[in-house]
Amino acid sequence: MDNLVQLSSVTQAMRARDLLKSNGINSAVQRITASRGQGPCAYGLKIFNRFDEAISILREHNIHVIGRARGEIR
Amino acid sequence: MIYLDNGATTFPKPAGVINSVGNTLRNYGANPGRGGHRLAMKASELLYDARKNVADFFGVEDSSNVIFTLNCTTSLNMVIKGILKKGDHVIISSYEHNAALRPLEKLKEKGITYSVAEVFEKDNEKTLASFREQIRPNTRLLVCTYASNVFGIKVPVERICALCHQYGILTCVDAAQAAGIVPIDLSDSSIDYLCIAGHKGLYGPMGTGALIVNCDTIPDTFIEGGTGSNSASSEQPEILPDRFESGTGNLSGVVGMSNGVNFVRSRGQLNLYNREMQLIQRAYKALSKLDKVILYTEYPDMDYYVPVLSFNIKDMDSETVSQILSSRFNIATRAGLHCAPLAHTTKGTLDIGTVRVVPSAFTTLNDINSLISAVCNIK
Repeated sequence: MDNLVQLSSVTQAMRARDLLKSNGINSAVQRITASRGQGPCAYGLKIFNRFDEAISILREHNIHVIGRARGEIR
Repeated sequence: MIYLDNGATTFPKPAGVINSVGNTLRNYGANPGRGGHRLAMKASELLYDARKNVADFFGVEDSSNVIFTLNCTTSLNMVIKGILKKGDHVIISSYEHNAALRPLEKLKEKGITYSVAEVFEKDNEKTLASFREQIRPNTRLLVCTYASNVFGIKVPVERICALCHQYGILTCVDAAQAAGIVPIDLSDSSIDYLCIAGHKGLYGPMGTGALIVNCDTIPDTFIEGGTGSNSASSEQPEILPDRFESGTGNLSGVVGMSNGVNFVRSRGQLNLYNREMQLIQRAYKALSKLDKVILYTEYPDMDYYVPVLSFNIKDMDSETVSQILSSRFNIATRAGLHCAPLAHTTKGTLDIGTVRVVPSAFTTLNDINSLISAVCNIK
């Protein structure tokens, strides 16, 4: 399964990316299909390593992770 | 032309600002925060970088708290109309711009009142006491200018905001005439909402500004609409900055503003402030020797003033003087009330206005000497 999470906006996704990068975790912002029931129009973060730790870091810094994304738009 | 109307908007703009605006329009003209294609993502990155840059400049850790607006007036309206409810009371200073005064006057219709605290030039203790006297049990918000856009008088806003916090009063500062001139660090500040113009001391394009939220009390929305986020919901997102940035923004303008911030950084903010004060002091000293000239402040120093000078020529209308300076000497100044009737009432110039001189990073000593010479020659 892709390590792809949905954030609340593109700004938050970029904040999350920068935060993870400062902790040595690589990720990339991309347009995604939103979590179930939330329709299209969402941005997410594809996390390339240390996924569980990344989620903890984001939560520690009050960056709201809406959920796992349903799928990547390719 | 000698341009001394930088209080209205700085001109010329730095080359870096002009180039960045052009580059954005030419190469990154997609809508940020909307699509997922490569150009839209690049536009989003540009907007995000600008937001981080402005946040860093004002000592804000979370760049999401920087909300880009059209101008300082919009920022002030967002706070004033987003915070206040029926029965609330507001304190303002005696030097407020119409950007603060008119929204508050409008809100009288909704049962919101305001009172004016007198600012005492070069006497921060008396000024502080004056604000303390205006505090009431229902005082909800302070709206205060950082510095008068007409007379350059700095208001001790940090101390006033700290005082207000002791009483649980939220604080909103109009930094239109100070941002980019006076260093403002929100990381150690009692300012809850900082309203700034992008096109003045930050050297950005016109039509740019920001509201920086520096507290947990988020104003109600000013407008609602599309944000590119949480689009399935008919409710406005709670998250910043999206909550306040509905509709397509001014990407090229914001990028220009961010490059204006870089310009100020590269020149050194305190260096610019010091240099512009020296120019104003030169003008003040020379004009004060002319019997026909009326000045309205004490000698302007950096502790108590920003580089803004107002004057009149006896028995002449301020508009006439400004017109002569323009037509005969090609010097641009601003006459009249500068959208700040309260400030002119405070100084007794409501009927005649003043001629305002504001330098910028591009103003030279020769420019100021030309102004002095021109004033000497006006009969």
